[in-house]
Formats: sequence, structure tokens, C-alpha cells
Amino acid sequence: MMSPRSPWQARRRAGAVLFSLTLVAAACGGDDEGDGATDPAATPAAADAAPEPAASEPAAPANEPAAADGTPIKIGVQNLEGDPNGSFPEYSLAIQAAADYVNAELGGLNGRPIEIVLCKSIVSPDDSQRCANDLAAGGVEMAISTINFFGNHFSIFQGSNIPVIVGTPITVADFTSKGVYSIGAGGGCLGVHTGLIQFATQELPKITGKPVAKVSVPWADTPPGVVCYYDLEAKPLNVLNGTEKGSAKLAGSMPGLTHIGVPLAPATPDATPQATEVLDFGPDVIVFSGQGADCWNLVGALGRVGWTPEQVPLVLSGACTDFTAMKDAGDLAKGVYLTGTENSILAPLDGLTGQQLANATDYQAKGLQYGLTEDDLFKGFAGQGFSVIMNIWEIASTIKGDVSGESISAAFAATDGSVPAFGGSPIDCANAPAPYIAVCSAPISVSQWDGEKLVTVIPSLTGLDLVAGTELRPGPS
Amino acid sequence: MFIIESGGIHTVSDVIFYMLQGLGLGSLFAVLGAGLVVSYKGSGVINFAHGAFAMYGMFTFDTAWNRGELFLPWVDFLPTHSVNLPVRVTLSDSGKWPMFPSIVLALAMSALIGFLAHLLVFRPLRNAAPLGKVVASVGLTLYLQGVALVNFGNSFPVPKSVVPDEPFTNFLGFGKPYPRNNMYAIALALLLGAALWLIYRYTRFGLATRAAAGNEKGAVLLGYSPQRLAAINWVLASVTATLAVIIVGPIQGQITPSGLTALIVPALAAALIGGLRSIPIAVAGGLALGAVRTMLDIKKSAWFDGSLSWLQDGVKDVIPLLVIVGVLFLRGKSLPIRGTVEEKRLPLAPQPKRVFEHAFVWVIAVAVLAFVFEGSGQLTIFAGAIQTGLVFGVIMLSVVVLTGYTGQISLAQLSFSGIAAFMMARMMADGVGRGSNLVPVSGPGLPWPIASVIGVVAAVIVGVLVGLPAVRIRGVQLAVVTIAFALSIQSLYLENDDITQLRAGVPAYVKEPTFFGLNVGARSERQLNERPAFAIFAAVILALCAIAVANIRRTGVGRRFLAVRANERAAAAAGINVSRTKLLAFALSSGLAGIGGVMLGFKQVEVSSANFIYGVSLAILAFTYLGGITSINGGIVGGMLVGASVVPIASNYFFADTNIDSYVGLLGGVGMIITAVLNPSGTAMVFQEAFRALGNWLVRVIPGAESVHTAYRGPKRAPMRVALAVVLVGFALWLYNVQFVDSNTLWVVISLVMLWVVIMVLAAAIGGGIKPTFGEAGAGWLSWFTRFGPTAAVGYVLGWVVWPIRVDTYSKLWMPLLGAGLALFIRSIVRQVRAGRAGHGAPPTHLPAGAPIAGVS
Repeated sequence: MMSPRSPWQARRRAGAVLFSLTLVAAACGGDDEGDGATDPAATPAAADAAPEPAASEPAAPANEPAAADGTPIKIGVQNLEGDPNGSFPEYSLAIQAAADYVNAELGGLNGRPIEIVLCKSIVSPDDSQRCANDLAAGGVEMAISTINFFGNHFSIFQGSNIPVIVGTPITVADFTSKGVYSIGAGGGCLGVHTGLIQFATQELPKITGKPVAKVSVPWADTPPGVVCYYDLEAKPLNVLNGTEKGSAKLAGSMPGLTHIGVPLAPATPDATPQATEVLDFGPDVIVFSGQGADCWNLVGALGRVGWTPEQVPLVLSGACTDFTAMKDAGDLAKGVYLTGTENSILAPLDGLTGQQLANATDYQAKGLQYGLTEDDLFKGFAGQGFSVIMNIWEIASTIKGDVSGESISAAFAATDGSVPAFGGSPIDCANAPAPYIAVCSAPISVSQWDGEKLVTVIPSLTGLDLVAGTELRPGPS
Repeated sequence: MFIIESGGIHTVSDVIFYMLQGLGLGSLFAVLGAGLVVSYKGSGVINFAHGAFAMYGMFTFDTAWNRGELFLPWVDFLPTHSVNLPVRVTLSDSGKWPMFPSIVLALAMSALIGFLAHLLVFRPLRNAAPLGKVVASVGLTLYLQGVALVNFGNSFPVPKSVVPDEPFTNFLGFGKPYPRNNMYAIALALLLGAALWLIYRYTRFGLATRAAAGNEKGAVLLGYSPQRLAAINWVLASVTATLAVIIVGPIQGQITPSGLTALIVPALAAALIGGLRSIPIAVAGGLALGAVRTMLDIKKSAWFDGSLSWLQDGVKDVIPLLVIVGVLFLRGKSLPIRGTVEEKRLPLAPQPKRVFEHAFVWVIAVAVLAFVFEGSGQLTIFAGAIQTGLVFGVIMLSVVVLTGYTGQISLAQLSFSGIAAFMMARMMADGVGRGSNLVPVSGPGLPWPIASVIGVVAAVIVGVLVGLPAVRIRGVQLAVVTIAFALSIQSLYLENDDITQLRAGVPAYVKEPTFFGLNVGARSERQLNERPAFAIFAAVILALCAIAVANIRRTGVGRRFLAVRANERAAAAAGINVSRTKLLAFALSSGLAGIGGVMLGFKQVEVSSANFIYGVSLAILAFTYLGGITSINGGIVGGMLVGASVVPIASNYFFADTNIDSYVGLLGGVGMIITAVLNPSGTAMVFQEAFRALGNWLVRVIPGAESVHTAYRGPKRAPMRVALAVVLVGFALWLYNVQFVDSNTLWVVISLVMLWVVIMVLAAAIGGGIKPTFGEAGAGWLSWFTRFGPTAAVGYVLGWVVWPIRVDTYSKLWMPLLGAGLALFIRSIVRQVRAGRAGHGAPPTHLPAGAPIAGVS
């Protein structure tokens, strides 16, 4: 359906058609001139007029199913699917399952049923923008960006005044874009990388009883990996040894601390050169944050050149969690430390308590009930997808008045970490430090793999203070 | 003793140990390289899908061993309601299957894939031009990747080792642990190499294969069947590749549908070291490559520091390039070229006609469509699709010039685009991080016209450099060089922070272009890719490029290109400087690709190395071939076929909710294979014929149209053309701005009726009367229904009936119409293929013998 257009718009378009003719004339050899019909800057409506979030905690799931019957709220989902280089259909399936659950049993978003509009994207910068165009043109009120390798789509959503929730933040844009709320995976590298350094240098010596003076940091040689390594791993290590200025309490407290960075490209065949370089440094601890299979590729390579976790502790980020790979790795994985969020829903229910048990039970029951397969249920991205919708529902439940993309955005912006969140750490967007203004969740937990299950070592820690008062250092110089 | 002491220490002992470490990966290069030699010996094909064969075999092994399942190498396109094709076979209910049967099963699967590839793809292409075989192997790669993704899912494992993998603690007294499975991999490479050497040296089959490789005609006369020999060689190559990746196991890293395909470049280098002839030398070459690559990859800063630090990250990709270029340069003309019984050449490159006229009409059409789709709700996606199609159309024209006209196969076209885009971005940079990139990039901050010209010039310079090897080599061997160049350009330039200040794909920001104060950037105020000004800008650029290419084709330069394409020796004998002609083709082509890269930068606002990876260059070549590699129309149609362009977007739009997007890569691969086998002229020719037939038909069935058409070509053409241009623009403005009914459909019908009335008036005023009359037009309609009605009706009914079998949600309006359209399209293709086989109606596949080479001086 064509939208009604103002006479001014019509004139502008007519002018531009004529302009196209002048360009054609120019192509044929004549002179041309622009008509100067530049458009006035359309100011997207700012989300200033945010409804006041209610102080209460999100409503607990009702005992009686409450179906949503209001005007549907369209939520766009941009997900990588169908590309041999990266395809995660379980993410969107879990989002749809959660939306169906919320609509059927939790009353939707204050009565408005969620309508998921899925755009499948391949791993290509062009297609990333194509999907954002598709969703924005389709009139979604808010968008969920599951995992995106380029971060070049946010400007399109911003221009259309569409808030974006990021399920798995990995790019710099995920952490720094306005109107974006990165709520999943421990806030991405801001929380995870600084937390890894905090744990490796401050907590690990207490656990093992051995001091840490040398740290090997293999790092993912990807666009986000570059920034995350230099700004959130190398820099805090330098803050600790005093070669970089900062206002952290621990600044300069480890003057003898040295470290080495070894880039590791994704899906590297034969990572033994990198493993050799990591071990030749003679580290007291190895720290790595990467994508699942790359972690176990590195672990395998380390094993092939003689490393064991008993000799040198290895600390991996939560993205490395892959129970099948960990079991397959056998003794090489036993004793490895992994970060996580405070409230993971993928863990076996045995041994869980409190809110984590309630959330995990909810996920594992409702996920299956609303369309997830047994295979998909325990995939990390399925858990994150389900959690994102549940987090949106939790936040929407705090809004007094009409729920819309704009009001949900404002409610997210106002979160301060005071309320637990489904499947993750408490959401705290209000205190996101510049330039990482989109990061809404920085605390992490640390567990250790005992060969069968993850055993919590530290329930919550943050390394954010290590980069306090420092300047952004996105590259080597 | 120290080798180097800077940023680290490498002792002689270290260096030797690192090289020994690299033999594990080297053994994979060696066996893949040996497999390439085997398939080349067997059928004269350099199989770019070799890695994909191994990938499917490896997935088969892993799935059988660890999941107890087997997936056959196809997909079930109709899996939901009724008839189901067998795809998945459960081997064990326990979810595990023993290792050795799994290996046997994987090898059997590889044998099947190798055999089917020969039978269905390369056997029919045995006499095709080398380019057709390259495109078919790219199509096979895409097909196997697509099938693997659908069948094996998206959880890509790191393979478990099938051999003992605990390390030697003090290997050969080096005092360092050494991976034990490296030893098995090396032993396998050596054993396989020796076995293959023995087979080709001493068995009857081996001797016959070598004979057929040297002289196929002679082998036929001796009573051998070259095709049977080829089939066995394909099976052998496929099986050895799979066996190698199974034994190498975890050394290869994660198994992904695209992972092993990337190893084709070092494998090609190994094969070329062996001269595409000697398996033992190829094996030794592969092992050496792995050793050197690993040696340079450990503590890179110790090898390359100071002024050479920019080499640190790219050097491992440059080594295969240096080897390939070195081998081809030194012995390029002594490499074996299969003497087939008959070799078809590329299709004729048609002489472009009325280019200005077509360009004018299409620019107007694009302008109209751009305005129609701007801010049109869900249809706005077509505005972005048009932008994408126009930009890639320019890039594909570069393939038409280089490959279609000159016969030089380049797999580096997008690398030229990347150089132009990155250089332009750097020239625009001003030390501030923008867009999704916080990394500040220093630069002179030049305005876009100057920056873009510098970018294009840089692309031309690199293009000429890349073209230098083409002076001595051609065909598929040149393709091998260019793919190695593409890989090197990516790591040495596009991802090299020493040069670009951007590492590992961090995007470069591109400022929006303005034209005398008017923003002609791609993004609208709401940041969607819908600004009509950019579509018009891109359409004009594409039109200018098309006109330039048409002029090249029409002049002596184009004729020299075609002469070189047809026969280099004959061209040289006719006085053409073949080397200069080839380099000129590279320069023009890389310039066009550079312009495309610049436009891509404007469209995306930022560019990343991910835009220009070599795999996309392969796809660009294949899509241009699909469109029609020897014609301007083919390039433009190819641009409309790429991802996020018009055809995929339309497909997504009309097939929404059908899950067809899961099969896009797979279907694209099948399309390429079918095009290579059945219709090497590409789809543009089909569309061209269809458009011509449609135009002729419209002239016959619209009262007054023939008068207008006659006047358009006759003495009154000047006033008629002006009148038509005015009517066209006026109609567009009317259609878009004056809508006075709510229903879009009704509005379009009313507008078309008014347009027809205007045409009648024109016919009466300028055309000298209304022809055809109403009676003649009616007869035309009747004739059409008689000829095409039954086919369209069958398609319509099938569209109505078949789709519900596939899914529950479908459009009852579009699917039957699509069925009718598809039926007519298939009818058209069948008729053209039949006509081509009958030897009339279709263009000849090569220059007639003795045809004069016009323009040759």
C-alpha cells in the first residue's frame, strides 16, 4: 500500500526525477547542475518521553495462563541462518518459542502479543545491512540482533528510531552504539575480558596458591577481537604492571607482571604455531576468549605440544562452553576455568537452587513445549534467544502505561542492576561506562569443568575497575 | 647458533623443529595437491571443489562415528507432507557407530560423490571451454556446502583423532613435545604418494590414464575409454582426499562446510610444484609448503621486524602465491594441457546495438522504480536491492571485459574492488573513528571525487601487476594465480593494519558523496538504503560503464581482445601484441572493478575485508557466467542475481515463509552447473530473447503500438522519440504523484489505460494511423492463447497444486502465476536448447573457421 505523501514530497521526487534526467544528459556530454533539492534532516523522534518504570520487580509467571489479546507488537529478529560460514537457526527458534510462551501464558507485553518478524542473514556486510533495511521497512517497533559479525546495521535501526536488543554482543558496535542494549553473554567483551584478567591475576593465585607473573593471551583475530584484546586485556594487564595509567585500585600493584598476545584467526587449520608461541613464553596462566570451536581447536593444539591444565591453568570465556567438545577433549578440558553469567539456564537442574532453578526449569520445560527440539534446547544460542525475550517481558512488565518499542527502550535504559534477570546477570544499562554505553551486563561468574559438569568457583566478579580512568585503546598503538 | 635475534630468538634447532611441526599441515596440502593432480590427469579439470569433496566425506565420517547417522549427498526439497526423498539413514540407535565402518562408509561416500561429479558434471563438460569447467566446479562447491549445511546442521565439531594423539615428549632430542598424529599424517601422505605413483607408473590403468592425459584421441584409438578412466580418477582423487582429512583429524581445526575449501590454494601450489603431472613431487611440495608456512608463522615478529613488519601476518598466504607464480612463470608453457578430441570455445560476444538508447531507457526505468520503492513500506527492500544490483553490475562488467572478451579467467576481481574501496576510504580518512569502527585511521581527508579516483587508479595498477603472469600463462592456470593473488591481497593489504591501520576485517568508513550540494549517498534520512538519488547515480555510472564496454567491444581494441581469446598464436601471427592486449584487458577490467568497489563503499557507508574475500570473487565469476559472461546484458543480469540484489530479494519476498532461503546456496550451485552444461551463453540470452519476443508481441496486440513502433524507427523518429521520452517521464510522475484511488492495483490499471490512450493519440498524430487495428490486435491475442495458453495453464494449475504439498502458508495469487511464468520460461529454454542442438536459431559456440578478424592490424 502506498503511503500518503505530502505535496512537498511529491515536488521533491519530481525534482529528483528531473535531476536524473540532467545526469543522463551529463552522461551524454552536456553540462549538468544539481537542483539543490537537499532534504531537511528528518529528526527521528527521540525516546526522551520515556514512561516511568515501575519500581516493582517483574511480575512472576502467573499460575493461570494469561493470553495476550491486544495490538501485536512487532519485534524484528536479525539472525544468521543458512550460511555455511555461520548459521544459528536455534537462536530464532528459541526466540519464537519464548514469544509463543509469553503470548500464551504470560499475557504478552502488558497485553500486547509479540509478533516476531524474522530476517535471516548470511555472513556478509552487505546482507547484514539488507536485513536491517528489511526489518526497518517492515515497521518493527524494536529489533533483536542475535549475533552479527559486522555491527554495520545499527545505524539503519538508529535512523528509523528502532531500539535494538543484542543477544550475543561481539562487535565494537555492539558495545558502543546508541539505542542499543547488549544484555546477553555477560555483556560481551567489556565484562568478559576484564573479568578474565581480574580472575587470572587476582583470584586464581588464591585458588591455586601459585603467584601469577606471566600471562599468555591468545586472542581472536577478528574485528571485535582486536579491540577487545588491546583495550580490555592488554590494557588492564598494563594497568596492573603500571605501564599504563589508570585510576583502578589495583593500578601498578603487579610491577613484575608481563604478558604476550598471540592472535588466532577463526577456524585456523593447525593452531600448533600459536600454541607453541603461547607456551614458549612460559606463562603462569593462559587466558582466551573466542568462539566455541576455536577454543577447543586451541586446546587441542596446546595438548599436541604437551600442555596440560595441571601445568598451566587455562581460563576461557563463556562462549567456549560446549559440553560435547569438553567431554571429547577429556583430560585436556578437565580443570579448565570458564566464565559464565550468574544465572545460566542450560545447566542440569540437579544442584540448582532459587531463581536459577526456577528459570532453568521454566526454560527447559517451556522451550520444549513451544517448539524447541531436544537437540536445540541445550545449545548456548537457544538459551540466549529464549532469555532475550524473557528479559524483554520482564522489563515490559515494569512499565506503567502503554508498552511500545520506545517505552521498552526507555525502561531498558533505566535499569540499574538491582533486579535479577532471566538467564543472565542483572541488567544494568544506566551505569554503562563510556564508550561502552551499550553494555548492560558486566558481572560474570567463573566455573571449573570437572570432567562431567561445571562447578561454580566464583559466583560473581567484575574486572571493570581495571579499565577505570584509562583512555580507549582500540588498536596496537 | 642464532638465525635471527629480534623480538625473539630462533636457533637452528628451533627452526628445524618448527618445520617438522608444519609437516602435519603440510601432509594435508600434499594429499589434497596429489588429488588435484589425479583429477587433472584423469579429465583435465582443475577441481576447485576438491576441498568440498573432502569436507562432505569428513562430515560423513564424523556423523556416522559420533551420531550413528548417514546423510546422502542431496536434500529433500519437499520434506513436510507427502512423498519424501530418502536423505537420512540411522545407522545405530545408540547414537554411535564403530570407527572403522565409519571410515569405510565415508570413503564410499567420497567415491560416490567423485563418480557422480564426473558422470553428471564433468563428463558432459569434457569438451567445454576451461571456464565452463571452472564455473561447474564452483557450482559443485556451492552445492556441496549447501547440502552439508542443510543435512549436518550448524554444530561444527573439531574432529577427534582416529590415531593415537598423545605427544612425544622429547622428539628426536629437540627437548620439546611433538604431536604424534603429525607422524601418522606424514606417513599417510608418503604412503599415498608412493601408492599413487606406483599405480600411474606400473599399472595398465595408470599408463592408460597418462596416455589419455597426453593425447585423448590417441587413447581412444588404442581402445581405451577416456571417460571411464576419468571416472576412476575422480573416485580415486575424492577418496584419497577424504582419507587424508580423516587421518589428519584435529590438525585441520573445526569441520565446517567452507573450511577445507579454503585449503585449495596451498593444495594447488603443491599440485603445480608437481607440474600437474608428478604425484611424488606434489607430495613433497605440499609437505615443504606446510613446513615453511609453519616456520614463518611461529614468532613472526622474529622473522619480520622493522621495515618488514608489514609482512608478518600475510606472509603465510604469500608463500603459495610465490610458489604458484614462480612455477608457472618458469614452466608455464611446459605444463600439460589435455589434448581433447574437441574443445568448444566461449560463446560469441554479441556486438552491442543501440546502447545509448537502452542505457537511457534503463536509467529512466531505474529512476522511476527508485522513487516508487522509496518509503513504500515492506516494498522498500526493493530500493536497496536495486542499489545492490547496480553496484554489482559494474563489478560484473569487469568480468565480461577480462574473461568474456579476452578469455583471461580471473578470480581476483573483488580484490581489485577492495583495493579501490579501501584506498578511497583511506584517502577520505581524517584520523577520527566513525561508524561501527572506533579505530581512528589517519589520512589526508580528501573529498570523495579525488579519493575515489585515487582508489580506482590503485586498482588499475594492481590489476596490471596481477596481469603480468598472464603474459606467459592463460586459462585455468591463470585462474590459479589470481586466486592466490586474491588471498594475498586480503592478508597483505585489506587486513594488514601496518598498511591500512585496520586489522582482521575492521571496517573502513566511507563518507557519503555529494553532487553540487545534493547528497547522492545511499542512505535516506531514516538511514535506509532507499535514497533514489543514489540509485540514479549508480544507474548512470553503470550506464556509462556499459557504454564504455560497448565501445571497447565495437572498436579495434575489442576485436583484438576477441582475437586473443580465440587463439593467442593466431592473434600474434596477425600482428597483435598479445602481452600488451592482455595487460590492457587487466587494466580496464580492474578499473571497472575498482569503480564497482568505490560504489559499494558508498552504498554501505563502510567497507570491510569481508566484502572482498576470494570466495566472493569466485561467486562473482560464477554469477557473471550465469548471467552471460560474453555480453553486457549478462554482466548486468549477473548483478541482479547476487545476494541482497533484485532476484534474491524478489525470491524472498514472493516465497516468504517457505524456507526456500535454506536452499539458496544449493540452488545457486545447481543453477551454475546447469548453465555450464546446458546453456553456456547464460541466462541473459534467454531474457534477451524473451524481452524481444515480448516486445514484438506487445507491438502486435496493442492497438496503435505498431504505428508508434514504425514511426520510432522510420523517418519521423526524432519527434516520436522525444514524444515517447516525455510520455515515459510523465507517466512515471503521474503514476507516483497523482494517485486518486486507494487501490494500488486499480490505480495501475487506470494509469495503463491512460497510457494506452496517449499511445493511440501518438499513433494517430505522428504514426499516420492506428495499426494494428482492434481486430488485428484481437487476432494477436487469440494466437497467443493458442500457442502459449496450454503451457501457461499447466504451470498455473501446478503452481496451485504443488505448493500446498510443500508448505501450509503460500500465496494463492502469486504461486499459480509463478507456476505459469516458470512453465513459459522452461518452455523458452527447452526451445532454445533444442534449436541450438539442431544447429539453427542459437548462436554458434565458436568463431567460424577462417572468419576474418576485423580490426586487427
